Amino acid sequence: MTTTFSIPSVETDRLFLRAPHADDLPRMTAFFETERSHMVGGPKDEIGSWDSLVRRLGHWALRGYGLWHLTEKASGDFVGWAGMIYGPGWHEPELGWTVMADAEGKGLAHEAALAARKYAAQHQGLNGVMSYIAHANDRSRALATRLGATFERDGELLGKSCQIWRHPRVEELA
Amino acid sequence: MTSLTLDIPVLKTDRLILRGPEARDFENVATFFADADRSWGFGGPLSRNDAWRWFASLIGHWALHGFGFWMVDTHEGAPVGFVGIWGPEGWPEPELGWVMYAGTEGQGYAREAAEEARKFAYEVLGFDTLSSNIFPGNARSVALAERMGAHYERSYENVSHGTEHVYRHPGPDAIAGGAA
Repeated sequence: MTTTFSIPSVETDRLFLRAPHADDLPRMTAFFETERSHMVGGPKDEIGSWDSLVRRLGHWALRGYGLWHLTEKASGDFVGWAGMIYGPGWHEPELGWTVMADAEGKGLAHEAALAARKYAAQHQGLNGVMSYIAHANDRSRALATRLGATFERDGELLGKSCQIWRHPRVEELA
Repeated sequence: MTSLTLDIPVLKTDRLILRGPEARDFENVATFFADADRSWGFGGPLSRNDAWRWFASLIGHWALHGFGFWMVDTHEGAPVGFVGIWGPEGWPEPELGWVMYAGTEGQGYAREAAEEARKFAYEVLGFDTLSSNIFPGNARSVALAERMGAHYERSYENVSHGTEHVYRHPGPDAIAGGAA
């Protein structure tokens, strides 16, 4: 007898959305050491990145949804993450996304966020979801707009002021 | 690309079941970490939010390493604590750890569960040695380690917890031979 939990995989044109795994740690650590990570919970050292990695896995088990890590099909590289986050301190489940600097500018975050939002609505009981966006994160705000989300209100996450953007419900999309 | 599925083995002793963590276990874990008197030797006390993060880490640890903490119940299903093998980033080596909830001590449950976890580490995971890191002054934990045949080896600086004492368990041959 065993206890089990599963993390599904999702395929898009250019990406696999798949479970985080141990090999991702060096790239996560490199990301969380950069200035760029300040808008998404960083900076963190290697131990902090390890904590994030195992927590992402545990989040799936506890919530039934979570962050996928993104593999770019063409290169095989681990390029970022996307999915639904509902950690302690979150006021509702959030659609989040991050693409690493060397994979930016190709629309991969858009592709991943669309797939994650659709999957959440169809399989995870989460529709019309929100995203927290740091005030300084213009790039993320531009993507939220492109995804059809609209500014809802100012909010706060883990003691930091931010904006709350609301996504359209998936069945309302053309 | 396939889905990840995590299978956590269930172990059975005379009186106890060691099984994988589930969402329903969180309340007991949070209660344990809220109690400074009980959790100081285990990195506590922790707020409820930090306890959730730690509990999510506990589950993710299984997915990453293939071992971790089991939740321990009696055969009747009463939760008594958690025991297992814990080796997060920065630890000198994976260690055998144990926690008993309030009101479950004094019955030998911790030893029964910890010996089963140690046996699993040797026989199934193929570990050739195992230690337990114990906070200085945690006499209760030292007493259990010694009852299990472990001996004080050295002191070291843990990345998260500061100074800890390493107790070295008898190896697989000694356990298999019944020396412990």
